[in-house]
Amino acid sequence: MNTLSVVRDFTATTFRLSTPIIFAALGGVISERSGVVNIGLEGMMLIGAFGATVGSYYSHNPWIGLLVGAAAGGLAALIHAILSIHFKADQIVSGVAINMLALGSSNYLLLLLFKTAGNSPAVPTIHWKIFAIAAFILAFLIHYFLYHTPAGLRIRAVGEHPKAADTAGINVFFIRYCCVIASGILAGIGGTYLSISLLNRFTRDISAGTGFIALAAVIFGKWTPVGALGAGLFFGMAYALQFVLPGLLPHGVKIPPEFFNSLPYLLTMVVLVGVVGKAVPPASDGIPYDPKESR
Amino acid sequence: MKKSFLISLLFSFLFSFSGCAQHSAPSSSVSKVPVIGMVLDKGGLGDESFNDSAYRGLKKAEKKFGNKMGVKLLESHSSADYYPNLQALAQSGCSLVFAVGYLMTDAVRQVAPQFPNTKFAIIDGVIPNISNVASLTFKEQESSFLAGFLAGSMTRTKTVGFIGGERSWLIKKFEAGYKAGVETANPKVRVLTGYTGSFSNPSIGEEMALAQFSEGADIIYHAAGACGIGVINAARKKGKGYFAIGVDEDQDSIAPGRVLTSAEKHVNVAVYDTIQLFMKGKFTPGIHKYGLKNDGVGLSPMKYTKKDIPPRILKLLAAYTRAISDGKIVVPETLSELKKFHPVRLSLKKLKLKTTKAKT
Repeated sequence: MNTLSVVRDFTATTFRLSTPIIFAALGGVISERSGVVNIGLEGMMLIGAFGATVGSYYSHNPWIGLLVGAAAGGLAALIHAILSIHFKADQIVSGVAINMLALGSSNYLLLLLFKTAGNSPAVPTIHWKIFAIAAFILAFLIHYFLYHTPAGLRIRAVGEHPKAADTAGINVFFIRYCCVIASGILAGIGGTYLSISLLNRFTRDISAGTGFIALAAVIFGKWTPVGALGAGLFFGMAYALQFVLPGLLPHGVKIPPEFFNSLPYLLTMVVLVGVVGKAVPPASDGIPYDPKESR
Repeated sequence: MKKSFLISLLFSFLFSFSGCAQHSAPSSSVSKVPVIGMVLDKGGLGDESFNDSAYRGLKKAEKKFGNKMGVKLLESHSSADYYPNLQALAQSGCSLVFAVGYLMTDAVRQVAPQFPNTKFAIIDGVIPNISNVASLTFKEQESSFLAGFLAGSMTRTKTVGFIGGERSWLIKKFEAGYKAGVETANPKVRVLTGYTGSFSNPSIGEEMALAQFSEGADIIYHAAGACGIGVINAARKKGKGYFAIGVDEDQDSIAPGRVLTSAEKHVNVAVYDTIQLFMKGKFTPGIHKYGLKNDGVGLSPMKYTKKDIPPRILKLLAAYTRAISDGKIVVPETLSELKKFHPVRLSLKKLKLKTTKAKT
């Protein structure tokens, strides 16, 4: 195996593993920019992954699967939005509820539709490169949208100081609803990628923590879309290292696999502590907006 | 704020139950027939793995003994359910209770002494010293040996792979048996070993498999749960000339033609066997090992790949199966046993045992 092929494999693996993180992290950025913390990214990915499988299975068309997956993620996000915006529920608790809902309902529906608690049947798929390229383009589009359009300015205003935005005539609830649902759609697409692009079926708990990594990528990327893209790539690279490094070790040197398994997490801590510096969230991130309260 | 907190809590409770369903097969326990209980692990019915397999064993026994026995089934939704489920079945008068899964080991240890008149059988767990508990374990190393022998015989690149989930004693059994099998087939074949550190992430399994494929492997055996679905998918994506080997259940149909074989574990056989012994009044506590000899483990029928395997290799596989069943070959169970393992070559002409020179 020559150096060129090692580099090529490493790059491909990095992109493949980064893509779902980038999608979900972009969703997280949008939601948190509008002031709603979205712990439920993981659950929305899972629901999206399941929806996509069901859509692709019944229509024999993976693009319909993509639509269903995105819609399913958006629907899960709508629940989060209603709970945390309308009912002003604790956003962390609501997000955790979404994660539990996703795990419970996807397992239940898996049993109901496919008579299995393990893996769904194989379904038609979409090539992974389409998702990878889309993730890149989206990151820059969302960046432009947030920082160079009036609507983006409104979103950021709502996340920083909802009272002021409200006074200026911006509908805080409407903006937050839109942003949370958009974040669910993006996470749903991330999940879709896992089930009908990377794999060709749904497996129990397929997201396996990717949504939580995405949450870290939001913070790591300092709540910006391009930052989330960079952070997503970084995490993907950290995962990819564990497949490349063992092959590069000099003969006879043995390092336990657990070390490589934990590499992404170790690197995250090192980078968060050493390189990134202070990460400042939007000022009203995580605080439900109540027009009656004076702040 | 309080109200809102309550609402979200309520929701989370609601959702946490949405995955639940209580199965209680109609029990024919009208009067004095013994009732066999079974506590399933998380995953429950439909997991296409040991829960389903255990249930098949129970069903088979029910068919055989008809109304001479009753059946009660409980599913566990979290590890907190093990203890109450086992207790509930014992209290309700079951005479034999199966605990499906080694995670229930501690729960069985606690419950069994409280019900000395009830027999317990734990699958995959080891509880040697309680007089009413039988431990049903499997010789996964033996089926892994056959998988390794097949891989070692079929590889064209002289390199094969092994991908495990979490590196525990259980998964090392698979690794040890597989490596012994490969070495027996051809000592020159290199085995690449990787552990994903998880049983649930298919994409990590797939990337690890792709990495092993590009390092030269052409056949990869997995013992990595859902990560293994990714391993099989990697073989499917690479296409002709690349194979995965499945585990626990017959996984050949996940990617027809790309799964060389599957090293099956017949939990159903152990369950049925135990019920049969119990019905004859021959239930014995202690550790029971199910291997090739008593059909506790074995290779899948290779529905899609058998036609591509040279008859010579199939014959050798059968010969090794027999030799292991007869105890002529002892497959290493741990990696330290593997180091001391000396491959035994069987030749087709004589079908006699020829021990190679001991390694030093």
